[in-house]
Amino acid sequence: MKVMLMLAAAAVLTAAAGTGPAPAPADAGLVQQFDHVTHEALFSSCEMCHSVGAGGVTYPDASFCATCHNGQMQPRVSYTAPTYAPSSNLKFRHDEHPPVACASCHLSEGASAMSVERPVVDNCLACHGVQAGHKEAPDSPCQQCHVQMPAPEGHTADWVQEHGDIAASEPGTCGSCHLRADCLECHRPGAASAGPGYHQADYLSAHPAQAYAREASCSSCHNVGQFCQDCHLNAGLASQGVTPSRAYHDANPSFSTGHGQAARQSLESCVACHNEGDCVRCHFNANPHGPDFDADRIAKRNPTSCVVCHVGGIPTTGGG
Amino acid sequence: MRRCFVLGAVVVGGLLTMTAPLQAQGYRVQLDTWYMNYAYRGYSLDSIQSGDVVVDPATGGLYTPDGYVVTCGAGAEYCDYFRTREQQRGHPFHSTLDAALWGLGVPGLSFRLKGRVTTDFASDRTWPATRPTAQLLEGYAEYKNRWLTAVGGRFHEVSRLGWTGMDGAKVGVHLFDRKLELLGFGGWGLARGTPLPVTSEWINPLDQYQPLDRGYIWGGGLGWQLGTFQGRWIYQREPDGSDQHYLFSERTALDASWRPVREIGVHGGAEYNIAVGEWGTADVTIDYNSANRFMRTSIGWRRYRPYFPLWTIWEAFSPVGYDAGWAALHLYPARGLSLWGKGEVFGYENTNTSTPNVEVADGGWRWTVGAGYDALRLWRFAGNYYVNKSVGASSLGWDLRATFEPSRVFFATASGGYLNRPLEYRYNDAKTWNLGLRLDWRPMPDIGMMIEGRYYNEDRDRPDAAAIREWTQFRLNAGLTLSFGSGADTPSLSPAILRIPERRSTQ
Repeated sequence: MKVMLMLAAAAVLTAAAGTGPAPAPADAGLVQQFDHVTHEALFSSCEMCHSVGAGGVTYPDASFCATCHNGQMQPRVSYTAPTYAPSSNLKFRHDEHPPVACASCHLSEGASAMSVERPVVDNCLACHGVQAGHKEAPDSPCQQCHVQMPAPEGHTADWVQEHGDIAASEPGTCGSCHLRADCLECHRPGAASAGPGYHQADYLSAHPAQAYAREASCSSCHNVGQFCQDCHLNAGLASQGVTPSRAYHDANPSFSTGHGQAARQSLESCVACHNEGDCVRCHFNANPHGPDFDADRIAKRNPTSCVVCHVGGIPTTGGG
Repeated sequence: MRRCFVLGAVVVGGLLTMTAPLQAQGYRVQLDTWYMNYAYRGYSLDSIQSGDVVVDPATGGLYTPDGYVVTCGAGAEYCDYFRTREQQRGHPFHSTLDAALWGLGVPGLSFRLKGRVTTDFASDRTWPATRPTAQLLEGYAEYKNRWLTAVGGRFHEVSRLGWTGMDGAKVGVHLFDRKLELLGFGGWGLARGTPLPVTSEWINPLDQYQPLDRGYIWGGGLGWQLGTFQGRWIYQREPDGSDQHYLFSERTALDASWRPVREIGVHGGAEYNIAVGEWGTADVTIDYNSANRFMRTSIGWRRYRPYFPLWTIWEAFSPVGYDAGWAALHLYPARGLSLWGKGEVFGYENTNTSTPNVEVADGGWRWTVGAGYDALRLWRFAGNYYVNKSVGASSLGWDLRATFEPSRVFFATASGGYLNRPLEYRYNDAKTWNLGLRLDWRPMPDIGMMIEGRYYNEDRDRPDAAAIREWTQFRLNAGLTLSFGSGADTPSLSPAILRIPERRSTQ
């Protein structure tokens, strides 16, 4: 726990320390090569250097810079006019977009005339009537502004089953294409949909093996009582508090006297059919705690479950 | 439940009230309706006088004279058993409404409602989670701008700790161009994996010990991004509703991801159960994607340990976790051809138990291989073969799938599979095969429908009279999805998802 907190704190401090001016993207083109703000006094309009033609935006060539940066008035500079548009995932061409002032897209609200940026997302949203936030908008499909990205190579047919680890630890990457609502299509409480969604078509037959081994965490989406126990009860598999535990474990008549290891290994499976009373019935007198059980810690945080067995008082030391 | 309905009424009322007067508003509604016809085993609980029980001389097992396994308590006058009956059929029906409303004069403000009506038309309502009939999954107002996200109502906070539902509020602050995010939330909690509070009768079919009062929940977290490194930390605490000095749970988790070069990524995280003092589920994965897109491979370690809230007694039984090492390989040797395989070996932690009467393994392994081909104009194919050898969960099977897609609005998928599923501790080795056909039709961008028929044949290897093929059956699935509203000319899922073959077949 302390390690985790220290890691988190260190990461925050590191993040805070590294949050100065963002480095220019590698393909930033004019923004990277030419400091617009420094030249603010020289140029009164964008059109002094740029125009929009059939091929897109034009840039001045190096000779234009050299009129000042000639080594006498100003130091010489190395400048190469971009010959192609910076790469982006925007569905946009300057020569196809209705003519608007450059500042409409390239200046943030309230910025000075030459504080040029890559297209300001909020400006796009405002003009195009998108009311919600970028990447969060329920009102606008991404492809309204962005090119329709093909699924990454890794998104093969079995990606649905495999994406969990990466999605949990790298949500920002998923967010490049997906909205939260996309996740909720499958990951919703007691998921019900017309399609197989997360599970394959014959999952009902396959689920005992997968659930027992916990290849996936069933209870992340399904409430054990509402889903597992309810169905097992209707299928005659749950204990119902009527039949002692051996009815299901019929291949091993001694199961009830030797179930400890199986129970500790896969307690979630036991819980899918047995209620607490089934276990307390015997464990009222048979200690169920493992050697590492920290009874004091749990009793301090919630003694409710302790008094189910320890009706005469909760022991102050734990252990088996 | 009353709070649930009040909350739902407020959200619906808000949506309706705000519909009329406001200009430039937008909305999107998706209605997803699903019906199934399925079979389940019929049974009845019966008993027999202990003196009439027959002992199998070979196994020593106890049976009724007509061959049913019975359970006899020590000294009991009667022994219990389940007698099979006629197969029963269920008819579950679900209709889920997902609505969003925005453009209310305040940029960034939107309302979201997700609710479901669910039932089983069969008289005994056997499909799980069909009660209560009306369920409010989510209903909240949300405000977002460049720096702030504020949510109020019923919603789920999604983190490594799972999908945590609550009736409350959360605030997220985004700083430094969203490279640093701070999060705080709080409210009344919902039971895990359900839109119901822990006090609900519908999540307690076996009559367990339940809390008297609903619990609270609050927590916070932060996320940060440094170049190609992303991290998230979350803390979550659920005080007992009856006595806030006590807890239902207290947990924290850390997630991290780093991609030092485009081809290589490292992802991982861990949970820690503060209330119990135990590490929970954890994992780390290293993946490699070749630059020529010929290969994708990953290797990882993961640990699984179940989590139980403290209002249950289950933590007192000292559940243990298991550690697993795994590796996966995907190859793309030719256009449209994919080959994949994955293997995992795992072992349980020491349970510190001595159970001579029951043989239990300490670990197991599982692997799967598969292939897919989608370079043909009208056809796509995929298949898997898998083997799982582990305690309580052994299985072996395969599945095949062929999709015919003559147009973008119609496709048909034929699929089948086989599963051999021996289970330890009981007479129930089962072999199941299935064969099905699914048709999907999207006549308009905002209307989709599907129908699927599937035949299951099961052979149960039981030595007693219960060995009937009670689960052999035909299943019917039918679904209808309607989307309408402003901007509803595209399916709800993003194009990236729709282009995934697996997802495309389900839309």
